[in-house]
Amino acid sequence: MKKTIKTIKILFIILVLIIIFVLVNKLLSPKYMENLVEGSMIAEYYDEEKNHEVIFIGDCEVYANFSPMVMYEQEGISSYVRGTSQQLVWQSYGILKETLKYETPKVVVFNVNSLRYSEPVSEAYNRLTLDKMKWSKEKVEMINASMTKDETFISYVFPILRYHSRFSELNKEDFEYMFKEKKNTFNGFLINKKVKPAGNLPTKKVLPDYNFSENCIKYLDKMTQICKDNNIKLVLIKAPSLYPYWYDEYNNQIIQYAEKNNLDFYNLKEVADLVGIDYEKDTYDGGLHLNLTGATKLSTYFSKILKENYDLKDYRKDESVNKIYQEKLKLYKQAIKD
Amino acid sequence: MNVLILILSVIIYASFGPINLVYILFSSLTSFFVAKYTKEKNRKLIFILAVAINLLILVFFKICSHSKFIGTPVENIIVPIGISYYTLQIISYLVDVYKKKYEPQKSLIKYLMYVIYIPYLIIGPINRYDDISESLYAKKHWDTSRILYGILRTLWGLFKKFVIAGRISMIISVITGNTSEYVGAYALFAMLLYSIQIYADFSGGIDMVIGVSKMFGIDVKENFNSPYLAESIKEFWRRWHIGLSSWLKDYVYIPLGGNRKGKIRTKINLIITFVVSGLWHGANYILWGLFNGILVAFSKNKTTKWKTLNRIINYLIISILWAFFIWPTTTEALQMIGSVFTTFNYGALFSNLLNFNLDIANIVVLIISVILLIIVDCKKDKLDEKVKNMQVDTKILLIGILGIIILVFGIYGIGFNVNEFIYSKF
Amino acid sequence: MKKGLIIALIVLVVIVGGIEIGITLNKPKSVSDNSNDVANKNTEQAEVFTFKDGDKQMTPGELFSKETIGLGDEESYSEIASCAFEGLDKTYTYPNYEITTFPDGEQDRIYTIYFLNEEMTTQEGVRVSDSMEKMVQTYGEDYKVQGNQYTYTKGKTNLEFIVENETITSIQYSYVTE
Repeated sequence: MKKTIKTIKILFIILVLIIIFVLVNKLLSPKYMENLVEGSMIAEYYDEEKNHEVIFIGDCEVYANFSPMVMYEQEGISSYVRGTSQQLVWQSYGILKETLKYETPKVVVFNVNSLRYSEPVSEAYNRLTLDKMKWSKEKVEMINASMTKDETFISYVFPILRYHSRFSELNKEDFEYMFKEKKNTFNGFLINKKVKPAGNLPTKKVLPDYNFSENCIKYLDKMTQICKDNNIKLVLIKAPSLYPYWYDEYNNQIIQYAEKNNLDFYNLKEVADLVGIDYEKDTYDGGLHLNLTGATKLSTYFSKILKENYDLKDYRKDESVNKIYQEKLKLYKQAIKD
Repeated sequence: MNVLILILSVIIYASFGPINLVYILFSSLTSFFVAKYTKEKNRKLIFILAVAINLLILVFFKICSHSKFIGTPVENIIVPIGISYYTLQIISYLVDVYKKKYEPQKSLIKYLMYVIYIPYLIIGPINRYDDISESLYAKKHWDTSRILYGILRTLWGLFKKFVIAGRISMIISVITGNTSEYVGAYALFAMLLYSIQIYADFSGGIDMVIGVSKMFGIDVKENFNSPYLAESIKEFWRRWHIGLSSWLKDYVYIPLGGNRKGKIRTKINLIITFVVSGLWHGANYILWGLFNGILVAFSKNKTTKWKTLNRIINYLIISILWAFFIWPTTTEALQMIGSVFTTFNYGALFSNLLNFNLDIANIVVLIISVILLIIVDCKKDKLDEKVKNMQVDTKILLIGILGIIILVFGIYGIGFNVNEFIYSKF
Repeated sequence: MKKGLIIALIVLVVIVGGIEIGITLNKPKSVSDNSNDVANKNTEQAEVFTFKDGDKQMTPGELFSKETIGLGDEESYSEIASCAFEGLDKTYTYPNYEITTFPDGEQDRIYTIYFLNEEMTTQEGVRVSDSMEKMVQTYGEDYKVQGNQYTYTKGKTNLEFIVENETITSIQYSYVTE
């Protein structure tokens, strides 16, 4: 009897310690709710109603430039943007694979900008994409493919190993959002209303090698394959931007790749005039990303392309889905106005 | 189990570079066979030869690793890890066997365990064969309470190293990074802090060795006895790096004649012993040894009411002497010590305190941890006894809390690198 | 024990008080102190590639300050934000070369120095339009190749040549960030 009480006591202490450990981990992890909201976008998808016919994947050039709300209003397209900051191609593949576990869209739109990066670039960006992702086989694969030299896998499992030094910078956000979350995007679209006209840009440098690396092509192949297997139309795009430079050599490779694999490729950068993009007004950082007005123009334009070419349903006529979107649209309009 | 510990040690040791094994095996095999098989004939000569060879290898590497000292740089020489420690252990074994203090070890495996026991091989302390052999070769058995104590002791070492020493090293690296700007008050500040850093780092390492060994049931001797509570330099050296100090006493100071040959010879013997100690740390530290020797030789065993004052003065002196460890060259160290007495820029130091890589929160963490360290050191023996006798559940609770504290407040991970022990260089 | 605690408390109060007083008295000075420190650290490291334009000298990784280097006003200036994170990559274009910097805390460090024409030569006299042979003669064969690019590394600095048809088409100094 005495022994059992002792054992229970020990087990209880261990339990309490585990709870403290979990809480400390939670407290010290960045919340991505008010600062660096780009880190929370990946997780917002999980509690969405999964009714999307179009999924966007790619780097900041998708989450800043394509507004599903506009596309719904214009053409009744139900879409979601699963973009993250500097999403590298192996991360895009992982996110696509993960998305397919929840739903099978008709069209997947991939922004090809990230193909220029052949290897992991920056720990900070890895964190924005991976920290808030749910654990899955895909996440494990993504971490292994993304880690830079000094990173360790274990620090993704126990964020305390990475973020312990944050104890001296904890702020209100860390306590407020320890147990709750809020949405910062509209179906993955991050509103940015700032205006910073395009100004001088650095010189277009000669590059040592314009060919996309084997590693990147490998993952692009995988994306092509998984879409084929699931009867999904993979659409490649290059979003409009002035910088970093999208070299002709890059563009030609994509054109060839699309032809070879029977994919559609839209270089939206080339049709910026047609879309009506004015780099004096429609960008928030001098020509790298579009702001709200630019994104609205581009989304309107692109929703027509999608509607005309891919036989998408008009969800405005689907009562249950329409109800969800109408509510979101109300909030969206509010957010735009503020 | 014992063989397993040996195999594990060899594997870990070899992982630092297989070449290391060649040296340590050479030294241990020669000493083992000399001790076991030497008959009365030529006994003295053979033993002297064996000691001399080991000593020569050590001196050779010590000089090579500080190539500036001999003028011509000797490049690409890898100093065997732990050579300073295992050589002294081997020498003490040889001398003691020669003096017939104890019988030579008959089993090669057991002897190798004594030399190549990985925890103390890397950061010390220096063990005597007769101190450690009993628990080292004893049959190991499971004892939850003892193992938990070992873990707790190891964590306390990690706390000292990662929370205290790591934090201080971030401050000091800024000061040593700019020797033209940071002089005077900054130099003194660095010295005062370095005293804590080197103690936290080194004794933290020893705590880990003792803790890990406890888990196996091996009793490694204490290497520190709250050294900064010493009231004189003499006392300090009885409390600091005890393994080395007592080795020097037994195998250098006493053979030199100790205190049996008159007052002047005693002082000279002391100074020589400390110069040897300096040499053992490396050619750069001879002057440091000399100064310590002189101070010890001329310090009086005074008993005054001003305990705390004595301690503070003693701490100051020791801190200033650590300058030779902070700045890489002897000239720089001397310049810095000089600047303490010539440059009075305390105002600038205070205004700059937040620019040494640590923000206010981190400074507070540092201060609290150091206070904790002081309290533990003051109550060391009582606390140790108390912890040893704690219930299993209390120990687990303490382990968990200490573990989480280290994980949160330790200096490690991306951007930090304090994985090297200061003392493993020697 | 009690005495010890009192002393520890006094030390604590003195330090914290000292910091407070120091901050209020002497704020601006501290910033410049810190920058000096980092600059000195970099010049102490001997083995690096340093770019020279007359008496102006620049090493990738060093703090960028037009005044200290002696640079005049640039012909054109641009700043590029990184997505999500604060801080700007800045580009300063001069007639013969272009300097880009990256943010390090509140300061900027030199990231690359890129040659814009054939006027500019490296310290060792190699310019765009020279032959690859000259590059090898000057810098040896201890380079890394990536595509058309030949990279020489010293410390944390790179000197990069892009060679097409045996002719150098681009020269750049850069900082090794990894």
